[in-house]
Parts: sequence; structure tokens; C-alpha cells
Amino acid sequence: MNIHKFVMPEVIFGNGSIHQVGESCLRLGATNVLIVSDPGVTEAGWLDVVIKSCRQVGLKYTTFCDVTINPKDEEVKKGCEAYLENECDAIIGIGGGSSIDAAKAVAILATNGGQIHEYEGVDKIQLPLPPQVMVPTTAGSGSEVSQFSVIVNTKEKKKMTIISRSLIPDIAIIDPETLSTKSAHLTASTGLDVLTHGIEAYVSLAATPLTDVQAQNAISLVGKYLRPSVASKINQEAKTNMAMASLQAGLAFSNAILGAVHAMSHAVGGRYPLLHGDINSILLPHVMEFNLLANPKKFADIACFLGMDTRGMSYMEAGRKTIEYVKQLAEDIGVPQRLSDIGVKQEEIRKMSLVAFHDACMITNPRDITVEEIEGIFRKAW
Amino acid sequence: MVNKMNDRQQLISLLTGVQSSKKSYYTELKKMVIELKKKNMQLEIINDITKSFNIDMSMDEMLKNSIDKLKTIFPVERISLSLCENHKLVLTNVYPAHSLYFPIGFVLPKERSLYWQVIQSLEKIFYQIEEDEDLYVEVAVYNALGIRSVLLIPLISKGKVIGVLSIGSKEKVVYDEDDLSFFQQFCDQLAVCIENARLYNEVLTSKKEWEETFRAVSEMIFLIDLEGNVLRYNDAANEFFQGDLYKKDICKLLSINPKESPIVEILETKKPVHRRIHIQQRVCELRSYPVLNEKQNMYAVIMYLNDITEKLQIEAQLVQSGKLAAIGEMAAGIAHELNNPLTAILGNAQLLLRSFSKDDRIYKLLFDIYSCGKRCKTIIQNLLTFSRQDEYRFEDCSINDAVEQVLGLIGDQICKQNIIIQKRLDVSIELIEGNVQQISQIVLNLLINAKDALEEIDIPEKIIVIETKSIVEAGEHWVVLSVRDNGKGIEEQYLQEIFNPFFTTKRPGKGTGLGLSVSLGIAEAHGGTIEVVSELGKGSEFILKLPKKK
Ligand SMILES: Nc1ncnc2c1ncn2[C@@H]1O[C@H](COP(=O)(O)OP(=O)(O)OP(=O)(O)O)[C@@H](O)[C@H]1O
Ligand SMILES: [Fe+2]
Ligand SMILES: [Mg+2]
Repeated sequence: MNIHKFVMPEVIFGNGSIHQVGESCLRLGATNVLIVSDPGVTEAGWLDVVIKSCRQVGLKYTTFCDVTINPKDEEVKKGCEAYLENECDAIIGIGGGSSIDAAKAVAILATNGGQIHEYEGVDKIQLPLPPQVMVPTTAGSGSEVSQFSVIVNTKEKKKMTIISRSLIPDIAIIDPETLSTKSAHLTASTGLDVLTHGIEAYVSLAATPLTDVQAQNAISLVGKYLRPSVASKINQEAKTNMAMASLQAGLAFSNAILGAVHAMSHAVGGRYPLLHGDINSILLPHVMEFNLLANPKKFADIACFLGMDTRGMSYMEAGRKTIEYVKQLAEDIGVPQRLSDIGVKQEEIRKMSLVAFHDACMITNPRDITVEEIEGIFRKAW
Repeated sequence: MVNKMNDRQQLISLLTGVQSSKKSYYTELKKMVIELKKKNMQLEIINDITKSFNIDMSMDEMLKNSIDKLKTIFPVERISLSLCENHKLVLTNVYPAHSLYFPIGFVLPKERSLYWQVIQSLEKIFYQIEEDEDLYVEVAVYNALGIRSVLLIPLISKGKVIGVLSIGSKEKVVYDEDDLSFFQQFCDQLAVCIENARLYNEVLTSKKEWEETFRAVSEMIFLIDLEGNVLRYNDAANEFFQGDLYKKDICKLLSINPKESPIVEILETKKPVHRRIHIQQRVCELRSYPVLNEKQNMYAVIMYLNDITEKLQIEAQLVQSGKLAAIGEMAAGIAHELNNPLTAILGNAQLLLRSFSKDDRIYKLLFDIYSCGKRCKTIIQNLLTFSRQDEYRFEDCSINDAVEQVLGLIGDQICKQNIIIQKRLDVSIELIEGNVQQISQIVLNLLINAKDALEEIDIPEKIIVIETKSIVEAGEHWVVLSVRDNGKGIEEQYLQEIFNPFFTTKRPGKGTGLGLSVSLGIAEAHGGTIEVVSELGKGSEFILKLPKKK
């Protein structure tokens, strides 16, 4: 690829930046915002912080907090109804990937109308979306900077990937302090998602020098700070760096797209209410083993980013070391190791493979892949 | 394999969005504003068409207006309109005018015609013109004018196709559904307007025709409201009365006593009114009819006035000459019958006279017989001359002869009524060119009228002066006969009317009212006139003026 493009929203990063959410909306011309969130975030008190910030600048607001893990089309529909009924003119998404993806999907329907499944695929959005301000609280999904929104189609039991430039939020506010309320397990799970984003973006067919820089940085930061971050809720340095890792990984994959891990993970997530990071952490090493052949140099690079000494090693050897590192990291932070451990049924592997084969993320996977090969990977990971 | 590679590359660039950008509200707004402007303009155009019919704009102006507005939203360079006329399709308007190719009025052939195709299919046709094709006759036009695409729309009014509108552009335009439906609306409206304009003109033409008929009728026609005011009138009325008659009171205009107003009569009877009236020395026949609205209520009166003076004069002349002819015939018969016995009487009397001396008493008696017989013979002779009706030839004659003839006929009779006739004839009077019999008739009428005027009054000395003379007036030589009496005179109000046929103040049986009318007719036929001067109770003078012989 000789011509490439790098897009990202306005980014506000730093401790306490969450308090700027109201003013950010005001700057975008909002007068009445819809705040999309989920019960967990509400419980952690972050929703109140956002509301307070809105109140302070005199913004009217409506809350919609019925988003579940892996947001569903029906929730999006309800969110849109809330938006229209209350005559909102901007959207705030606060929470993990689910809340932010749901907020984006509500934005689509708010101005374009129709059903969310009509927008599945690339560039199906015709009309501009209302101003969107996103506040991630999990450091993982990268959705706050990406042009993706993943919504579950309840009828067909699958995750729909919607890709459009218009889905890139106007402002992303990343406040590392929000990470302090995360449980150790959630920190580990989202942390591995960040690593997956970094690695998949780095080896992606659509990678560019601009995305490579982001991916490299994200990978190094995860290597250094994920373990301490899982270990302590109050390690500010670790939290801040993991937040930065998440942001940079997000910028990388939003522009370079992902690969087989996410394609397969989407297929699993469409059927089981599992943590996205958990599924990724199980699949990541197996997909890396399969992909190594496609670009040994890049996998060798990753070993360096993770701080390993690869002198005297061939690219393949260094690449294998990277895979071992990933496996070790997963073990260290205590994320699940096998699909069978988290309740995935073996009988569904075939079906999930087919779905994964057609997932948009598969397009940028560095190695050509068949349905059978996907099935093989699933079985290894089961 | 290669293909697959390309596919993949394409998918990747799609995913990373190299060709796409975030949608912006600004562009969206711009699009919407343009869209709104377009819609507004479209509405304005449709509105304009509807309006322009009302203010009676010509079709050319209407098209110009539309195209100017259309241009702001569509790349339209030319509009042409062809209308169906008696199963033919005729080019009627082209705008702008310089984009004319076929002349206005050109009849489009049915073969290979795009326009006809539209008429027959009743469907819009959008046609892109290729440089080197000549499939249709119209394409030559477009090629010559540089038109690259045309939209042809049938004009349908009340389910009937009345023509085709062609909208031409110099570029290859693309119209979407909305545009097409706008053009359809535009044409529907246009069709309605054209149809309306046609109907309106039809009504206008027939109205004009009626108006012209109304104006051209030689009888005077008035439309009068129930108060008697003139609402409308035709040219004949205008010519007769001269000047603006609008809102004039009809009774005053016609010198009718308001109590006898025909309008009042119609209002009462609801029936037509027929009358004969005299206006300005003319006799007119008046007929009035009620004008009813749909509810059968009368709201106006239509009045016809026909000047029948000439007609009556001719009639009168016919009547009188008929009468005279009859008298003449009878007189000739009687004269003839009397002539023989008179000859015998005169012969015998002459013979007997020779037998007596002039001193003899019998001679005196015989001479009386002889001279009375002689006078009878003269009267008979005159009667015979006067009644020679056959020849109305014009010849040189003396007005004095006419006087003598008439006096010979009735002079004695008048004298017997104690009326003195003073004869002042100019012996050197100029001759006139005319018919002595007819002139005599005038003298006779004037004399009888004078006698009648004297008969009715009681004065010590009743005199009729008959005078003839030659005069020069305004460089013309005239021969004048004046008959003057010191009789009862004529009331001033009648002075205008006495020359009208059938005007008489005499009791039935005595006067027919034709004398003066016939006399004036004869005088005019000789290029002359009759004037009257009269004072009530003092007498009247009638002056006959005839041009002298050239
Ligand atoms: N010399 C006159 N003096 C007074 N009135 C006259 C005289 N001559 C005419 N008139 C008036 O004019 C009227 C019209 O006269 P005109 O000779 O036309 O008709 P007429 O004498 O009444 O009838 P006729 O047809 O027998 O002559 C008369 O009835 C009379 O009233
Ligand atoms: Fe992810
Ligand atoms: Mg008379």
C-alpha cells in the first residue's frame, strides 16, 4: 500500500480529564445530551461524575444505562428512542467497549434512521452523526478512537461489525483514574485485549508506518505495566501507562485493522456472554503460531518491543519466543487458558469457524486462511 | 489468484477507509439548503404558471419566465412547445427565440418523430443525442443547436393529450425521480393553463363577435337599467345621438314624457312595448323587451330604435300618388264624359248668340251660359292636365305655371270661402328643372293647408298670399315660392313634427298627415327644401326653395 491514511478523534488524556466531558460537549454545540452507559459503570460512580460535569455547564441530559456486555440491536433501538423522545442533540458514551459501541450505534440511528443491521459492513452510513464524546473506563476496547462499532444481531446470533469514518468520535476523553475501579480480572482481561490489538495491528496487511509506531509503543507498555496494573488497583503509574497503551493500540488497530484473533473472538462473543479480553487471550497465541509464517520479521520485532534479547536468533526463533512470552503473560495474570474452561461447546466450533471466516477483521489477517484452518485453531484452543 | 489479490487489496482499502471521510454536517446542510432552494424554485415556477394565466400573460412570456427560473436549478437552455391542432402536431412556441430551427407553425411529421412518440405513448421520454445519428427528425434540430439531451413530456389536460413540451440542455444531464416528478407537475400545470387560455380565448372571441354584431346592427340598440339609465348602446345609437350616452336617462334622450316611459310600462306589464315616436324631425319605431336573468327576474330592458322616416316618406308618396292616380283616372273619365255635352252646349250657345243683338236681354243670358260653359271646359282641361300621372319626366318648367295650374283647379273654390288670394308672381322668374305636375302637387298641398288654417278661425279678412321670386343665397340661385296665410298658426312644439308622415292635427277623415311629408319628399327630390315660419294665432308661411335650372 503506497497511499494510506491515519484518522483519530480529538484526544484528551490525563488524570481528572473526565471532568471536562460537559464542557467538551458544549464546545461541540450540544444543548441536550444522551448519556449511554451500563449498570457497572453507574455503580462505580462514573456516571454521576459525568452528570455532574454536564450540570456544571448547564447541559440538559438524558441517561440510557441499559447496555449489557456485548450490546444488542434491541438496546440500540431503545437508546435511539430515548434520544429522539428527549430531543437530544449529542451523545456521550461512558464505560467499556460495550457502552461506547452502543453509543455509536445509537448515534447512527438517531440521524440515519432505520434498523442497525442495515448499516453492517463498510461505509453504509449516509448522513452525518450527532456529536459524540466517548469516555472509556476499561482501557481495552479502543473503541473511543476507532471507526468500529460491534453490535449483536439477536436474531442471527452474531456480532455485526459496522465500519465507517463517521463512527470516529469527535472527542475521546481518557482518564486513567477511571481504571482504578476495575477488578483484577477485568484489568487482566482488557490488558490482554490491548496486547492483541497491538500485535494484530502490527502484523496486519494494512499496517503503515504511522500505525506501526502506535502498535510498537502499545506493546512495550503492556509488556512493562500490565502485570503491575493487575497486581494493584492504586498503582497510578501502571494505570496511566496501561491507559496510554490502550489508547495507542486503539489508534493502531483503528487504522490498520485487526486479524484472525478478533475475527474468531467475534464469532465466540456472538454466542456466549463472555469477556472479549478473555476470549482473545485464549486465541492469541494459537493464531500467532499460525500467522508466524506470514511475517517472521514482524513477530521477531515484537519480541524486541517486549524487552527480550533476540540477538543471534533467526526471525522464526525470535517469533516463537514472542509466542511463548504471550502465553507466559496470560498465565502470570491469571486469564483463562482454554475455551473449554470458559464454557464454549465443542459442537459449535464448526459454526463459529464459518462466521469467523466471513468476519471483516479476517481480511487484514497476514496469512491466508481457510475455514478448516480456523476450525483447527479453535480445536487447539479448546 | 491475481484477481483474488486485487479483491483483497480493495477490501483492505475499504476497511482502512482510504477513499472515505467522516460525513460532515456542513456538507449535509449545504446539500439540504440546495435541495430546499431547488424545491422553492420549483414551487415558484409552478406558482408562476398558475398566476401568469390570470394576469393574461402570453405563452411566450410564460415560457421565458419559466425557463429563466428553471435555469437556476437545472441546466436548461431551450424550451419548445408543440400543440395538437386537428390531429396535427404544430410547433407553437420556442424559447429563446434564437433557438428556432423549424419555423413556428411547422407541422411535425408523424414518421420518425420523437414528439409524436410522446403523444402516442403518453409517456415522458428522456433522450440523449449522439453526434452522428439521425433516427428522428427532431435530432437534426438538436444537433444544429448543440442540444445534448432533451426531456419530452406530454401535456395532458382532463385526460386528453394536448401537446408536447421539450426541455433541452446543452449537457448530458441526469434527472432523478424527484426532478422528473417536478417536470411532470410543471407540465400538468402548463397543460391546464394552455387549456384554460384556449377556452378563455374562445369565450373572448365569441363575446367579441357578439359585441361586433351588436355594434354593427343599423338599428339603434340600448341596454337600459330599470331606472331608465343607458348601460350600453351600439354604434348606430352613438351616431344618431352623438356623444356619450352612458348613464343618460333614456326618456330625456328620446324626449318622452317620463309618465309614458316604456321602461315603466315594461315593468308593469312585463311585456314588450312597441311605439312610434318623433325625435328631432325623425320618426322612429321603438321596441323594448325585458331582459331576464336565470331566475326569470327582469334586470334590464333592451330597446331597439329604428329611424323609419325615409321608409314612411316613401310609403306616403306611394299612398298619395296612388290616391291621385285614382282621382286622375276618375277625373279623366268624367272630363271626357262632360266634354261632349259641354261642346254641344257651347256650340249651341254660340249659334244662338249670333241670332240676338248685344242689347237684347236674352243675349246676356245666353252669354252667361256660354262663358260658364267655357269656364267648365277650362277646368276640365286643367283636370285632365293635372291628372296626367304617367310622365314624371324632368324638364324645364316655370314655377308660375304650377301656381296657375293649381289656382285654375281650386282657386275659385277657395275664393268662395271668403278667402282672398293675392297672387304676386315674378313674371321674369327663372326656370327650374323638374316636373310641373309634382311641383303643382306641393303648391296644392300648401294652398289646401293654408285654406284649412283659415277655415277654422273667425277673422274679418282671410288672406292667402302666393308669391314667387328668384333669390341668390350663399352663391346659389334659387327659385322661391311662398304661401302665406293669416290663419291659426302652428304651435311651436309641433313645428318639428309637421313634416313627419302621418302627423296631423286635423280630425280623422279630413287630414291624413301626408301632405307636408310628401311635399318635402318632392322638394328634396328636386334638390330643394321647404321651410316654415309660423306664429300661433297670427299665421304661417311655407317657403319652397328650388334650385334654378343650370
Ligand atoms: N298653413 C298652416 N297653418 C296652420 N297649420 C298648418 C298649416 N299647414 C300645415 N299645418 C299643420 O301641419 C299639419 C300637417 O299638415 P299636412 O299637410 O302634412 O297634413 P294635413 O293637412 O293634416 O293632412 P293631409 O294629408 O290631408 O294634407 C296639419 O295637420 C296642421 O296642423
Ligand atoms: Fe478487541
Ligand atoms: Mg295638408
